[in-house]
Amino acid sequence: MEKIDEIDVKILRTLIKDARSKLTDIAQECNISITAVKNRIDNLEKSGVILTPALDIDMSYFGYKHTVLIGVNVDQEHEQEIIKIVNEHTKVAGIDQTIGNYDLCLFVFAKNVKELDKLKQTIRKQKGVKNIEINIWHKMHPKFDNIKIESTKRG
Amino acid sequence: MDKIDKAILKELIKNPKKPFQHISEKIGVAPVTAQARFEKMKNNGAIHGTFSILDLSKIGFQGKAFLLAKASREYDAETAISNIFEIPNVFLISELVGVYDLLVMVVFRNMAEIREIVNKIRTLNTIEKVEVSLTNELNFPLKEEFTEIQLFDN
Repeated sequence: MEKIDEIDVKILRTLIKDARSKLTDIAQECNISITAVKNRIDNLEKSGVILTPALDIDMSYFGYKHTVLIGVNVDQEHEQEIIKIVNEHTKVAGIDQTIGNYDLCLFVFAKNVKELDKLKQTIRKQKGVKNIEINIWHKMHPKFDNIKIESTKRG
Repeated sequence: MDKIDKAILKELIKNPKKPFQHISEKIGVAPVTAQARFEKMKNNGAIHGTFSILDLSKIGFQGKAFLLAKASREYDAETAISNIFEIPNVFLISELVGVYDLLVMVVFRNMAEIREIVNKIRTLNTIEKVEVSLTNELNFPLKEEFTEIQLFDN
């Protein structure tokens, strides 16, 4: 586990909401120098706590009207084939191998229901697939600042 | 969305932190134009801004859970959502169309924590049933591969 202190926590909370945050603003907020902010961000990137900046695109604006969770139950040895197919057929927000209700949780964007149905039929035909459930997102409520990032240093 | 907007978007998808100065040099417009177009795309809803993808496993988290909840007869979305957001580390709730009514995404530090979270949601009178899928994948809020998404076919 990486050691992060209260200032790192503040920096992470800022960058998670806006990867383009100005160093001067962060410096002021944390009451440290711009160089210190830059060094801390460099360290957080080097240690892999910050993986990458990302652009927050509204996929529905670009014609991908549906965000969908496809839950799949599939034999473990065939999971990789499903992952490959989904990546080839549609825009993917995330693929997670899970335990519990589903074996694979696929978060995808689809242009229309027809496209989604085609994807479902394709997955269904794959070896080892036992069950597919489609859950269409109707309204999303993100609240990323509800994550309690905390200092991992004691005292 | 015109050619300039698309060119700016492409640059920002490649590097969301790229300064407007560099973007403008690359595509041949003034820096103020690049910035104004960025703001315009935020205002018209094409993009919401930028965020950073973190690896929460590096800072004390052990896993992420996707909870699928079925509504009870007493369900109303607004109450259920605000009640569930009172639980720390719930970072996304989505209303669903289909068998389930809500998808709740949450990260947790240990098994005791996730059990407590699931139990809290189960006891809400707006919720009848909760099913759980767990992963130890902790890229947040999305996996890194998302940044390679191809928006334009050309």
